Amino acid sequence: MDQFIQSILLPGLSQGAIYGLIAVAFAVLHLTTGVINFGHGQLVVLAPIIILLSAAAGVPVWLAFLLGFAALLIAALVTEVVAIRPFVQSGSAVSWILSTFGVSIVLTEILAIPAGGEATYFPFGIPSDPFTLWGFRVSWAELSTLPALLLVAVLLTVFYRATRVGRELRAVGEDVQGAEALGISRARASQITVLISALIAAVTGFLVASSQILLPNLGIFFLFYGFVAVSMGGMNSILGAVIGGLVVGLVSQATAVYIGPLYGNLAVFTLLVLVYVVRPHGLFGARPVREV
Amino acid sequence: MARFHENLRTGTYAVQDVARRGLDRVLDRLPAPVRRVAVMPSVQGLVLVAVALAILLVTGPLSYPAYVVLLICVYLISVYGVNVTIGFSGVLSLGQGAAFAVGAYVAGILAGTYMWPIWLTLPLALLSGLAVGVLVGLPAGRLAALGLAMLSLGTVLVVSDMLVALDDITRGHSGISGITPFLSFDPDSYVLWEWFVPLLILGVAFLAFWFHARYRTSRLGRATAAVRDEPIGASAVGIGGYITKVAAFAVGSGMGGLAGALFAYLSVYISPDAFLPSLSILFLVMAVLGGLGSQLGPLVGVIILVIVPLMLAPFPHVNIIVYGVLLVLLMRLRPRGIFSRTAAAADPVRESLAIDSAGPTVAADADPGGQADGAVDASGTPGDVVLRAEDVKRSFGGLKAVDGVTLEVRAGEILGLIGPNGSGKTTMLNIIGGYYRPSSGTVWLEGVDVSRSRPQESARRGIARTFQTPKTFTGMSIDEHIEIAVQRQLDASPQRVAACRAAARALLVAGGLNPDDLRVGRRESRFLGHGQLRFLEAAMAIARCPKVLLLDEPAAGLSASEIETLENIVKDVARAGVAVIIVEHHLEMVSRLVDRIVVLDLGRVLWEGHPDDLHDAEAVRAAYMGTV
Amino acid sequence: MASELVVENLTVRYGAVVAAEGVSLTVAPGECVVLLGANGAGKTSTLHGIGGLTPALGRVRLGDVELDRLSASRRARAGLGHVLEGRHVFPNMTVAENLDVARPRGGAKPPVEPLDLLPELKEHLGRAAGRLSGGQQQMLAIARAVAGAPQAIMLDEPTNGLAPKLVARTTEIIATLRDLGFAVLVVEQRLEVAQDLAADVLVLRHGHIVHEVKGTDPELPDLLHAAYLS
Repeated sequence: MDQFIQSILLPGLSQGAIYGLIAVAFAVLHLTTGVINFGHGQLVVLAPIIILLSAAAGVPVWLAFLLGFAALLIAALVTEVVAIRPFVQSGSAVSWILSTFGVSIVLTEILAIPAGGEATYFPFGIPSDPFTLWGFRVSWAELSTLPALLLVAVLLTVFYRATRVGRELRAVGEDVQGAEALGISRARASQITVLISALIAAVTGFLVASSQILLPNLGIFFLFYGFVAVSMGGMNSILGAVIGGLVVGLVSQATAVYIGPLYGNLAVFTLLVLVYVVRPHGLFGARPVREV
Repeated sequence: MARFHENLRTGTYAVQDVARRGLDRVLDRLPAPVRRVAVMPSVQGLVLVAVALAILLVTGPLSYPAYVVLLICVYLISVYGVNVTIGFSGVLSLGQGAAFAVGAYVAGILAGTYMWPIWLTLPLALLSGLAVGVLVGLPAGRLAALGLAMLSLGTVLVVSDMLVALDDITRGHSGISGITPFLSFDPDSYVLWEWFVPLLILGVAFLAFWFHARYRTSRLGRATAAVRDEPIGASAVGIGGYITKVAAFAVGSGMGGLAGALFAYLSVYISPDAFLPSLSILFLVMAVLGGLGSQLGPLVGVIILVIVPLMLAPFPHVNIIVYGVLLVLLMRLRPRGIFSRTAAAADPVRESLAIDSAGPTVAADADPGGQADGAVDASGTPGDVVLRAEDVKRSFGGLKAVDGVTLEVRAGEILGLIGPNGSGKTTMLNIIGGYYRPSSGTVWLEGVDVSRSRPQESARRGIARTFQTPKTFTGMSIDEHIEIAVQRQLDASPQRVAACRAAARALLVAGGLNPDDLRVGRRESRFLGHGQLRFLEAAMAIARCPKVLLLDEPAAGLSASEIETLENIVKDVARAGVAVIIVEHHLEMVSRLVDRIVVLDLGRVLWEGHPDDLHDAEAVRAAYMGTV
Repeated sequence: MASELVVENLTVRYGAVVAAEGVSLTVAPGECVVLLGANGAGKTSTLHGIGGLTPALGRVRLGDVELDRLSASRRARAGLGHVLEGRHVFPNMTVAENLDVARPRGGAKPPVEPLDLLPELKEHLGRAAGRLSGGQQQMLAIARAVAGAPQAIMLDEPTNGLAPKLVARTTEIIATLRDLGFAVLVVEQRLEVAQDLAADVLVLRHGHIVHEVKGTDPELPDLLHAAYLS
């Protein structure tokens, strides 16, 4: 039992919280715009990499953090204007899939140029030195992901239910024409939503950089895992995204331990197939009514 | 700014259209036999192969330019596969690289490690690619674009992992070397001739080019394109979409696997580094750049995206950045039309609709007064009940769209279904057609319960319909539309077939589309006006010789003379034994045309009877127009 | 609150198809204009063009504000209320949330509280809008438009699919809106709405205005008959 907790439950939940954060960002963007940003994975690692590069260039750490955050916001806003806004609730998935995918490709390569495509270590994050707590080896970096996820999820849920802006964003997702006829701008909604997902990406990036090594192709990996998580939970559901993320984390960790570290992707892939076969609209999703 | 975008977008179309029209004009000038030969894919393929061969002859088969040409050919095979998957069927697969890698490693392991003969490794690589496609396609076939895209992305990740994980057979990062062509299981039977692999690659490239074209004109390929262009219209003629998508996935991946195997033989040594996710992206951008779905598009895309990176070789990351930027730009410039919708060759209409036995001819100026008093005619009174809906109900959330409707239609009878907006007429039609399931109640077609049938199943059992907005196939020619319909003709007596075909011809004539004019038949439907599309859609529906014909507001937007022509054709079709239900707002037309009227209001049957009695029914007048 | 809605030479095209052409109309505050026409006559296209949901040529003015370069949501914020055909309520949000989201951000209040105008909604405040009946959704859609404190209100086929009692109620509400001083533009298929409101009627046929008469004009039914059935 202790072994299970140490080697599967703790790391699974900790990593799963990261996937949950990605899934929550997907859910938030999708519920208003109907788009999944294929470049989100890159946005997550963007800030830490910029911070590292700036620090390496001699910039003081606090300024480096500012630069990283600014770069993230700029990248998010550019993505929104170029690859998301034209396709809000447009129903033509192929267009926005390819265009956000295109942006993700550009970001990956731009990041690869200075970073050289090698793994890098982030020294400015939450301490990852292990210590013992109740008989288990843990680190602050590991322990902080799940509370962060829960905090983000609660804040967002309150935002979408209790604030005016939140309700407007939900309205755009429900019926974009109806919302526009009431004075709610679809462009502004799409912008605000992308900024929210960028903030989530900032938090996610910080946690990721603290707890693991930054690899160049982390982006596509997060994209896939986060997507499986949000599909499992229901594309527009924040709660579903949280649950989905934790499940994905536990499954991939269990697979890595019991079968082998290179089989994680296969297990998560199988999970996605299962979701599509058993319940395509996810746990908390609604079956769409077709218009003829 | 918006105008600039609009111009840019229509500008891109304009360039392509001008290029195509120019090409057509040149081809039209050629004498007929030469033209027929020039458009044949086998001839075009041979020309391209000849050009490649010439380059190889000049520079030598082992030179660097030769390598570039052969790499282009290998990539071309894979991108034609991508074109089948994405371009023909609209299924967005991001994972062609996975099939390519699987094919390369199957060939590499079998040939490099176990020295199997090439006439076995290539087919096995093809089959392994096919298997990958089927495995991903089976669940993916039922999903929307997003789910498919993600599943295919997942296969890329999984395959990359497996290449390293299964290092007993793949040798992991060390890679596999010595991939040479053997002629038999004898290790001494390897081929030393340096032209062997190049010629093989050219040959397979030609086959891929030809196969790609033939796939499009095959029955499956046409059905695939129809599903891509208009899935609802496709289901209305009996095409389901699942099989077309799985087949497209499978075939595209199979071609990717074959291309991968040839790549292995070309490179002699392979390792996982040659098969990164960026390869999938490359294939995708090559296909999109050239114009998805076209025959020559992949060629353009591959050539540009092989030559350009070679020129940018000193700056390794720049190519991929360029791919990304290209993707984004292409989506912005052609947000509604990344599929280059081009029609493929098909049997001309006059052959498809050839009437073998002598049938009744339809004249546009037939005496309108003759049928005014009912449907009784020479072939007898309306026959048996063909369609019956019993106490059908359907709600959407809190809205009761249909609230207990019972109606029936007999063979040869024309039933008019009228009612104000929101009365449930179109919902009723959609339920009969299989687009919605009734919340309760049953629909019987010739005694068979079709309440839970999907649209394509109902279509195959004998229901044909038109829609308020014509659901025709944007990128397909008129010839193709009619061929699709006629290929899915239902069982019927020769007289009925003859009558239906004559009616279909008459509809095309009414739309200004001369069925005997070959050039008209080749025109793509996106160039037709709205009224013409209506007639084309109706011609398709009737050409199938259905048992029940559902017409949804067919008169909308038609002129008075067009409406009269339509009425006469519908009467002929009914006389041949087809049961017709027509939903309309045009009360005068309905009164002239139908044998019986059912009035719906608020989801219920308000009144039923003979059209002559309609105007006397006060309740109907009040409900329908407030007052008449 | 005193703003008139002026439309000059509105043309709406979808590609090559002309849905509406040369449509001009004026609605003064406290006045009600009804646009009548058969299906396909171009009624919804006209409203979409005025509301900015579809690109259109021509001039649209509300009071002294030129609307034709503004996006749909800016036009709404400038005071053009629009009740869409088919209601378009937000199905997974409650009635209260639907209304809340419609109120102007600046806090401006309409001349009448929506729930006072439509008290039948009061007992459904906590219910998801998608679960309301068709008639209730129509009421909610109107309440929403009023909540936005507009100066002009456009209603697209508000009696579509409603039982006669509800048609009467809807007509009553529209009359109230008119009496409260809104400039009201209604698109309809049914004649009785125009007659009950004694409004000015514009008959639309194939995208053009072909007749301009008073709702109480005895010739109107015949004119309509001819316009619908040819």
